[in-house]
Amino acid sequence: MTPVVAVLREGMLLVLLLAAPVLVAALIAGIVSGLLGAFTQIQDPAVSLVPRVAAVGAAIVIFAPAIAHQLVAFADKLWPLVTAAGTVSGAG
Amino acid sequence: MLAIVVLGLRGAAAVLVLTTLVGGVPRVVQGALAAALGLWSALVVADVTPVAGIPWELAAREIVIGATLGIGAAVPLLAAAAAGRMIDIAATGRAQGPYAALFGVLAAAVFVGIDGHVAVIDAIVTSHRDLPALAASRVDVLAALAKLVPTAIRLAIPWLVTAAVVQVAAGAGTRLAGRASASVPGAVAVPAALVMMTASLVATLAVALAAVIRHTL
Repeated sequence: MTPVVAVLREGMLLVLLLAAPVLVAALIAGIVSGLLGAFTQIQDPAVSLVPRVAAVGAAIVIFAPAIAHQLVAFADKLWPLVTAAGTVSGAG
Repeated sequence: MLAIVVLGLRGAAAVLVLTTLVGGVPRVVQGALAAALGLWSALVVADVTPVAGIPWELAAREIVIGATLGIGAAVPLLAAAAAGRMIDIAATGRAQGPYAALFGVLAAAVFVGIDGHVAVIDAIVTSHRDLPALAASRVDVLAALAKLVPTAIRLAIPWLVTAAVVQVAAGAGTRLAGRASASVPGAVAVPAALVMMTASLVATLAVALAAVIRHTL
């Protein structure tokens, strides 16, 4: 695997890592609000939207340090590679 | 004067590609940044990097190298933006919403906070040392660029197939959910596929540019 492909693969994984905590929170909130809507027969869109948005906001607040840490770790690893891009490209 | 312009293309291309991919920067600011950084880097390396050869060949080569540096520097920012779009799709059903903007700001803060801008400038100057703007090797830039399209298509096929599978699966899921009288946000499939296709295009461009550089050098 070339360095460029490895970096891009890691970038894609980073996307999933960054989004995963918040997506899981949105999923749980969606399921709970869906069940609540089914039990109460309330069809208002706010019943499903508001808990989901609130859960996403709370998840971002809780997981922001971890998300930023992941981003910083990846960037710390990538940017020296970018600086050495000339050498890496020239080696191929 | 022509030598300064040719040397400046690398830095200008890096800045233009980086700011265009990240988005949110006005065109005028993009142009001014690109011109300033390109001119500065050209003046810095002009003494140690003599320009020789056909200018248009050198210019194309400089632009390709600069664009590659810009794409490399933009990867963390693009990852954050893609994560924000995924969250927007999950929370609001739209690809462009408040969370994408929030993640963009977070990524920009990280970029500046850990000296990403310094890394980009360092990369431009370092690359001038490692890959000087010399055409002594008589590089065939046009032939290398001609390989870009087939390479891009070959690389994009798996991603496009994945996007198509997502669309079909989402359609089937929506139909099954309809039979079960459950409510499913079917509109989510289109933005999700768009995000995947955008990611595929960026990845394709980066890998194809790397391939072009490898063929060029």
